[in-house]
Amino acid sequence: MAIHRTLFRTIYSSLALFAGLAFTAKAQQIDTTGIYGERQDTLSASVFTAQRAGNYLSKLGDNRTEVISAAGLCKMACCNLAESFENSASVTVGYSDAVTGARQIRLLGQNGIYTQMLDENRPVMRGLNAPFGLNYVPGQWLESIQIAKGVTSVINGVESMTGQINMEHRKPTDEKPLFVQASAMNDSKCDLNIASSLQLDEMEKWSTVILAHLSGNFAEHDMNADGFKDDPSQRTMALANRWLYYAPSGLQVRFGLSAVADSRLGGQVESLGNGRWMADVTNRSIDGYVKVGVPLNETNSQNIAFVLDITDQQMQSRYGNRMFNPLMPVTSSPALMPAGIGYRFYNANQQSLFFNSLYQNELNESHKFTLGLSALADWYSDVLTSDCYTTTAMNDLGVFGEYTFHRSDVLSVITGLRADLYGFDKFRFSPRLTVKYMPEEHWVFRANAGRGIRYSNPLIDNFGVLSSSKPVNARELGHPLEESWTAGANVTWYLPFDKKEKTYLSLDWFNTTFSEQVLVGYYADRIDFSLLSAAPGARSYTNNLQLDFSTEPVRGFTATLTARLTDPRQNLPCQSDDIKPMTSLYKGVLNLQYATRLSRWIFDFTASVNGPCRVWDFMKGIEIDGKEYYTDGYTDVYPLLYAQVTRRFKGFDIYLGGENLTGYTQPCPIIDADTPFGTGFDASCVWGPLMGVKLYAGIRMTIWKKE
Amino acid sequence: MKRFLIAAMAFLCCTGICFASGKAPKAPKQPDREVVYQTNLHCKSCAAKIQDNIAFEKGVKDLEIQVDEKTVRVVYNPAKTDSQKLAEAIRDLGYTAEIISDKEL
Repeated sequence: MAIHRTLFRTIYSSLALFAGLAFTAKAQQIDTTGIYGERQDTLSASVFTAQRAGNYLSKLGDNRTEVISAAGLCKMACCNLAESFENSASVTVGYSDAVTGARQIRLLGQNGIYTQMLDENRPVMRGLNAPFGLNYVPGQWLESIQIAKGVTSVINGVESMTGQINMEHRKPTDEKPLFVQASAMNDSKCDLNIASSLQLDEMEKWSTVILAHLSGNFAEHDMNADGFKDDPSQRTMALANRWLYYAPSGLQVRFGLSAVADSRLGGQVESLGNGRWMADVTNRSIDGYVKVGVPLNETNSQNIAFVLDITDQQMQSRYGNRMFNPLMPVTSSPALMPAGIGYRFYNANQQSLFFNSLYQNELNESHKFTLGLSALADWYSDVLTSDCYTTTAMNDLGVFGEYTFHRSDVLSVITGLRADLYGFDKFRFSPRLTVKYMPEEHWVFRANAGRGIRYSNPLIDNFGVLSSSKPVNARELGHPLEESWTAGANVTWYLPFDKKEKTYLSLDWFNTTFSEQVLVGYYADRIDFSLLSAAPGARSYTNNLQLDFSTEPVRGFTATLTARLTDPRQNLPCQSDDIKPMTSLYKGVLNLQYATRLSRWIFDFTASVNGPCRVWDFMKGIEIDGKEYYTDGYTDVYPLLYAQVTRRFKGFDIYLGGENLTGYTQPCPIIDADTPFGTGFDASCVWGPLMGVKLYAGIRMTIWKKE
Repeated sequence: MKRFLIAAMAFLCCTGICFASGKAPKAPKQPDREVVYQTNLHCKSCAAKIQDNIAFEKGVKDLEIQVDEKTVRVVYNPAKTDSQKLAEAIRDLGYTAEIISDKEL
């Protein structure tokens, strides 16, 4: 472990040297945007009217890709990344538990841990950062989000089993020296975001963007009167600084640092006194990265790129009735915790290193290939209540190749193959294939298939189990590899009468089948973790069907209707059938937007219907108001409504809106809320909204660079 | 109370008459004009910058930017602005702006 840490520090301190060396590369008159460049990804990147598209399907993408643009990120409060998906049917956002505010997404009916999160093509939100990572990316830091379904490129690894979500941040090259956004909600949550993009020399070789975020809430709410806060009290601070060096030769160097500090206190309301049950979680993380793209010839048909990313994260959490002591080292004796049911203690550290090197050669307009080497390492050290303090290293060394065939705009075929050595003893091949066929301009057919593999982290991947009194055997499994195969197809028809291609109909189907997976089973008296392979004949798969329709019947008015059907299956010994629990079986979303001719007024309305989830069998006996609530074994179908009005002025916008306007909340989201120190207490069986109607107001101010 | 209501009604009527009689005769409305500028914008960020600024210039009624052709089309009310003022506003943002056409709609 000491060797790992020394190695970690050495690499960290050599970041600057690495970047410095890159600047000395030989100058050549070429362009390197082909590697790690900005995505050219809009409905029609060439025509801009005063009204801008919010969410749309990309016609250019080889995978079926939904884009949430900057305008889409302004449709709702979108305080953070999790909330940015509220008007998407592809992605469902839920809570991991009812006390810590941890959010999780679902794509293709599977937990978000099977979706690879990328920050401008760097894997992020891994390990300890996964439970709260969505809360730590402010929506106003982002320029766009791309949600690609199915298996994607092998270049960034094969952790993307159900898809990939790439975030594009505000760019150093944006000519916005100052952007400020501030908002407040009626539940007392306040957000402040500041971004400043600066071009530092006349030639604009050097540019930087500074991003800052501060948020918190100042009042506690208990709308359902169960004695627990609906949202934890929280304070979050995030800071990032990103740099771009772009030489006339085409050499690009991007590097940056970011840090997050967050503390939250959930659990019973303060009026219950010092003996109340509390969930206290603190997270700290720091991340540094360097990306270098070097052209190798004048036409940039050959280039190389390097990516290095290093992260250090700490999580300290305490469940019970003693306040967390932030000075307590991670290795503190669990004996400091009071013994007994309802008390838990989980502290963890994680250091991660990601390195990727690529060589790309575009032989001609039809043939292109990429070869590369990558290394990924995570060093964990953690302790759970009375368990032993453990350290674990998870390594993945990979070599990959990807070949792309293009036949003008009609056909694209991408074949990728990775060979990975996991933990120096497990060798895996992962093939992937993506095909896009556009026989004529109004029709796009896509298909992809391939294998996905990831290291599991049973406790962190199922973070909600910590807010339960039941015994959990998550750590007994270690960190086995999870493996799946995903296949899917998409057809999109752009209706010919709409020359702007804003009217389209899209249908897609995806299947994800696991050959190995960590299974979680909830019993009345325990939460049991097991391996799929350990149960002969057990299966775990989902089928997902989605229909999207979007149109702009009159200029400025857009309507998008999406419907998703999910068939999630998983054999679990604790369940009487094979329908995967706590997974919504369908979702429908209607989004309407009207913007006046110059977008001075923008009206947004989103309505969604969220289908039922199969509950855990032990929940069938739960009584609410004296009656068994889940008699048929399923949760309620519930609607959600969102509305927002934005008034834009020169240099600033003000907006007012409301979330969950129907006020629907999950009845009794905490099981045995009256006895938090009892054996049946469980705050992790969450399937619906925890907060009722929320109203908010905000302001966005932009100062543009002038001549 | 009745006297108060009568007084209030009288005040409103008088105010209305005063405003009506004091209003200058309305000038005949000029038709809107459409001007197209050739610029040196080159990317979607440039387009967004022009879009977010020119849309709020006085008299602007519509706006369309073609990145491929590097053109900016503006529909404006000639009683409130003119093509030179709009060109100046584009130049203030750091772009060139040559008028290709300027015609009545």
